[in-house]
Amino acid sequence: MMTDLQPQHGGSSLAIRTLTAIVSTLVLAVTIIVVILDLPAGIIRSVQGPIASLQSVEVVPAEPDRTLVCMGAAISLSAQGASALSYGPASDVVAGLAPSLGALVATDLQDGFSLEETSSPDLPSIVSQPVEEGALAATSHQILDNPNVRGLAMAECSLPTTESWLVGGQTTIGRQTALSLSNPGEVSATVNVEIYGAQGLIESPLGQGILVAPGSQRVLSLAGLAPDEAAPVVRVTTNGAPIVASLHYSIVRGLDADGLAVITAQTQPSELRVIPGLYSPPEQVLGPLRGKDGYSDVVPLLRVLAPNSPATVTIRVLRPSLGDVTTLLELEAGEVGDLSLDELGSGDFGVVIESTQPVVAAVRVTVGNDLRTDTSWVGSSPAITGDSLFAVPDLSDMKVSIVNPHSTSVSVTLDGRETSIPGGSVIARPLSPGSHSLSSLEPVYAVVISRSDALLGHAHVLPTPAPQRSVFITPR
Amino acid sequence: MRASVDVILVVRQGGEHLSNTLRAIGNQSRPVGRLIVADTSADSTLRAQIKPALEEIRVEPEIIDVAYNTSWSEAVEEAMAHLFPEGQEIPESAWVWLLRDDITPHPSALEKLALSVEVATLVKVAGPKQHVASQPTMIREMGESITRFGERMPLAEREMDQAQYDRLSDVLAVGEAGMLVHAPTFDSLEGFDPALSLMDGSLDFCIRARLSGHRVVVVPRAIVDVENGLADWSLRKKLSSTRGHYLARKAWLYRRLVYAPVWALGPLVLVAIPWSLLTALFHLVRKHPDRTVSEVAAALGSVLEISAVIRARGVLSRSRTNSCAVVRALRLEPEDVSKRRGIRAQGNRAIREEKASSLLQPPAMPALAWLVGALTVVAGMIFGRWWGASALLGGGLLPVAGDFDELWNSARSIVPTQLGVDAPALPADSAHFIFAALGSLTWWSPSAAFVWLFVAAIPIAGFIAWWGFSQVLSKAWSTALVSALWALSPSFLIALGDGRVGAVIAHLALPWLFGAIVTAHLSWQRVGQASLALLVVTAMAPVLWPPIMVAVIVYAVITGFSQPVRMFGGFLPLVLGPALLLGLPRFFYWWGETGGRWWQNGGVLFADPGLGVSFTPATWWQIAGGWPSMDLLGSLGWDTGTFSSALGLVLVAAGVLLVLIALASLSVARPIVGVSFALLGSLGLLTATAASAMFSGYQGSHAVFVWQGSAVSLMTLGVLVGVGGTLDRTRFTDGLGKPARGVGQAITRVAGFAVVICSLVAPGVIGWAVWNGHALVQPMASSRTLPAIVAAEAINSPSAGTLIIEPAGEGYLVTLERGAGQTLLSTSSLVTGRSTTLTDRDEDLSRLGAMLVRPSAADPTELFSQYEIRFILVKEPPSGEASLNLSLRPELVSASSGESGQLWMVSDTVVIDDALEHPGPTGLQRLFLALLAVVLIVSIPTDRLSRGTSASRHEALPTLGEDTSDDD
Repeated sequence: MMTDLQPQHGGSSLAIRTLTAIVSTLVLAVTIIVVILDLPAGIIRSVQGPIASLQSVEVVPAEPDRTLVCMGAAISLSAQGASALSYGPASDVVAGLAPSLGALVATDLQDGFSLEETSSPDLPSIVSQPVEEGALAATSHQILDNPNVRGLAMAECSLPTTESWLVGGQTTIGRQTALSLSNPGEVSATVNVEIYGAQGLIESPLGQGILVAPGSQRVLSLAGLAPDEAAPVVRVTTNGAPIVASLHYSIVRGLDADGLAVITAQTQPSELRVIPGLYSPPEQVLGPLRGKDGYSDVVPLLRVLAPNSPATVTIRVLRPSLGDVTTLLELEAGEVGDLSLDELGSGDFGVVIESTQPVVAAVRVTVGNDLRTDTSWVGSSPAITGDSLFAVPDLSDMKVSIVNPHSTSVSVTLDGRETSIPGGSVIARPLSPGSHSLSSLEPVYAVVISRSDALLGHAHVLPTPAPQRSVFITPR
Repeated sequence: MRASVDVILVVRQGGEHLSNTLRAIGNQSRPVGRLIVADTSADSTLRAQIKPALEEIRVEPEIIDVAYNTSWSEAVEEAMAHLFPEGQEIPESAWVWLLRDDITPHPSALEKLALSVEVATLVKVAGPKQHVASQPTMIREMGESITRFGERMPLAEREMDQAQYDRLSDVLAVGEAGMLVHAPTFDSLEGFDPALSLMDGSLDFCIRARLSGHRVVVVPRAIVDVENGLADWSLRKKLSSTRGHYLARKAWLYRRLVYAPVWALGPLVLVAIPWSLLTALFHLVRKHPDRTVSEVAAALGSVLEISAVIRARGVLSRSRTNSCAVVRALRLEPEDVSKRRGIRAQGNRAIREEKASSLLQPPAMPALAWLVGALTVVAGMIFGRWWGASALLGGGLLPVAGDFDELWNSARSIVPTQLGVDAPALPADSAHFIFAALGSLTWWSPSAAFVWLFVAAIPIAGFIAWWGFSQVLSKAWSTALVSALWALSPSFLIALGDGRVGAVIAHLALPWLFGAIVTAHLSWQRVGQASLALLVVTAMAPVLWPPIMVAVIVYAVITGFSQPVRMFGGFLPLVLGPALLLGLPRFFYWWGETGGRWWQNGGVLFADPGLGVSFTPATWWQIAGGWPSMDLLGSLGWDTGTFSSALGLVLVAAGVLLVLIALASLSVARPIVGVSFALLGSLGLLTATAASAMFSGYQGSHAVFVWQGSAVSLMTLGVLVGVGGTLDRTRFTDGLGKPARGVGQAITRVAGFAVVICSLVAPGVIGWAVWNGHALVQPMASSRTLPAIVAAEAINSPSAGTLIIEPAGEGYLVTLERGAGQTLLSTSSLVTGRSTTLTDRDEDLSRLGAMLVRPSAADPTELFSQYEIRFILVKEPPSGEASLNLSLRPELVSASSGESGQLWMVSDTVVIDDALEHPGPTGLQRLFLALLAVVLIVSIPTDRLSRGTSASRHEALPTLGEDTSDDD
């Protein structure tokens, strides 16, 4: 054994040593047994009881008023493209229980009627209504007929967002596209504009950091950001306040203004896009025009962009009586693809775009005759479920076109009348001016169309945003 | 004139002593007259007991029964009354010889005494030379004198009788044991003063005799053996030193009042108490805290006996015939007094050294220097990444912040302004007192002290551990080894890596506490040290309260058998008092908060101080291996797979090996080592397994439980004491310095190496984690937890609030901080552990949070000003939902933006910067400070505890060729 230092235990100390060794061993043994049985923690847990959980407070946010911003006066760019002009106010039709009307407070539009460079008095309207009053919708329209601009501008009033996709327009010769940015909020918005063209993303440093003051509208010429672009798609994002962005597109053929359209924002790219309201005029109308010089863009056209990654896009044109037409299109990432939708026959069609990657899309529709034409860009519609309202302006030949992209039929209630839309079909119903309601349990897609001989305008039917969910807050 | 001597024998109890005394009386070479036995034993069998002894002697005793509680002076008085009844004149030749049952006179004692009084008629009192009964060659007492101030001084110390005092004759006084006194004189002097029945009675009597013109002599050739002092004999037990001191002081003060001139009496009474307080302080400094109480009590007692003083002054003035000059000539001169005191101190020191030589202390140099140096290198290898950092943050580490004043204000109370601008103050955690003291070391920047502490923690731990272990170990190498193991133990390293300040400081202080407690019976200074160490440990790790209470009480009970008053009256209150007092305000608050259901809130009582850090508790066998938590392996991604299970086994195996070595200490080491190992190891293990179940509140959204690591440290301490004790017993050289070879040495070498290798694995793993940034603590360039702009604003308005919103699960966690953010001293375990019931403030914050993270029509301005919120910090990327919504608020200005957080400033919040209302110290806190001052005074090492060192001992005592092994 280990050798000891010096003898130091007598009889009594040996006894003490033995006793302490025995007691110590017992203490250790009992401890180990108690610990293996997990008694200490077990006793504490049972005495302590269940641990009080941290309480969360479920708060239902007091929803701010629902606010829609209308398109404002239709915009044309002056001949030099230096200034944006308006020619009088647009008219707004509102559908809602207790809407209140207002307007932005500033714009950098100039009054087209004035000879001086005076600021336009025609400010975009703001329609707001407390959330509890239910659905709210409004539609603006303006018919212009002057040497600079001619045609029908029609657009739904929209909710401000932080990201908008605007598909349509052109900045080639004779085609003007103005970008309108409206900020209805109380803080300024810093807007970044990215433009995708046929050759991909267009570098435009001027489009970065555009400041839009609270309650004001700013208008830019898209040609300034992307000159001579045949197929632009614009993505507008903001840091800070959400805004409403739109493109105002006007055509000048030769010396004559001939066509006006307002392109409203569509939602972020997704794999399914549905565009109702594709109208293909009869061949006898379109045929003579098509050959004329400068009229090459009267043919219906589909514009698709897969912004982030290459996509294979299946395009299905729903033709209720003629049968569907399906086409495949390969898209490079960020390069805008234009697809002519010629020779579809005549009628109100719907387009369903299914893609392997998220895309945005719109169609261009033209009506007219030898003397005058009018163009409209119809972007992909948001899905409508539940109850929604839409407002129909007092124009001739108003109708609503509703697309059911599903394979089964969907029952919708339009103004209280139940209507069944067969799977993969489009219905169109004429409408009287004023407020209308549309409700559906399954997602359907709808636009309001004003189409006469040489005037064409579209406005989307927007879904009623779901009320905010409650939020769980844990205070500590 | 031949004296007729009667004997007065006062009996406290019968038995062998009494018989011996009676036989000795019977065997006197000079026959005695009457033998009066004053029996106070109240023992009816006494007569039967002494019968055999009486049969041997010629004298027939006259036994008078006296009441059980009768004092010496009263018993003598009664015996005198029996000898010389009232009204009867006492013959001039009558002498009485005063004896007790514990006095055995030598046969010639009476003869020599009587002879000395017969030849000198002026001598009225004669005393014998007293020997110690158990050591018959030691002088017990031989004449007494007084100092200039009236303190009694024996003329002979308790020393070997070499006839060195045998020329003494005239003395100021003699002791009452075996005193031969002239009966008429005794009567005229009215006997012993009953107020001095326990102490100084004979001194007072002799002084009065001297003042009446009589002589007092000591007769060196008359020898009596005396068992006990008068006080011990009177009270029938051995008096404690404190009681003895009390009696001596009281008697001295009483006599001073009696002898003082009339004009001095008033002033003496007035200054008695203040003077005693001063003297008490002096005793405190001289490490005799026990005497502080007795000193004051004695002063009080003497003043309260003023009526006895007046009676005694009457007696003195009636009998007095001479001036004080008689006394003055016989009292001791100051230089004589100081010489005697010096000799006495030397003697005491020699006795202490004699006692201490059984405890061998390892020599500190050079092993301690090597230990600290090596640990510094290891610390650099593990935590070198932290060196030079201006701040360490993360885990439980927060900036200490604040200036000196704030430091000490927070040591008393916390104002939790995050609960509301006008929140009432809470008692601070005990730890804040220690934090404040630590922060004051670097008063210009309190955080710096904590950075330095963390950086230098390992060598400091080794240094303190050396001191602690060296109190029970005797070899330098084993002490150094266990100190190194202690400084590198996993619980300590994990606490450092997690920033658990409390656990780190508790680990540092535990060996200090251990070393101080195991030596507390030797010195009052060690009691003071133990008190300070216990204050630190329990403040830093309140979960150690129960095990330490048990350990301290067990220790007090074990050592209390030999010195109960010291251990239970001095040790326990002094050691536990300051820590208990410091913790009491928090305890009362906690008690009030529990609403009677204290058992559900025990975790809060024992909550760790500082910021709570949650952890995954270890299993019991990992704890037994020294690991409080295996989270670190998880953070390294090593918690799965064969490599990690192998690593985990190695890590735990090191601890298990230590436990096995420690188990051997139960059979081979000193009992104190074995008991410490078993007690601390068991208590630590039990507490550690219990701690992780103690819920102590929510830190943010994380439930916090009491950290096991502090208790694991306690267990490790026990195990290492055992390991050290085992290794200590191995001897590598024999008595001649030749290397010893044997199984024991081989086992020790192998075990030592295995322990060292295994214990380096844990530091390696933790060092790897620290260098790769996996530890919770991170070196930082600046000492703040909120963005710089908030910290800058806090300089001007320290109570500006910052609302912190962070995503948590499906919702958000909303918290409120003030100024530059949380600091170590603004944390409170009472706030962390507060009830989870929602308060108005919680609901307000929830509403405010909801209206900020979601679009809302509600106006937050009112809540901003109500809670004085100046900033909003959202801990999510800029694209998060809450960030986007905050950007829509016109009343908010974006102040800074980063990937980890977005800061907004509320433009128009008015912050009222009232100075925080810290209530002044409460009565309890004042009491604590007073007690702390006492403990500090006691703990200052004014005299070194004598310890032999094992090194010098070996040199001094070469055991030539002797085989000293007797352990077989």
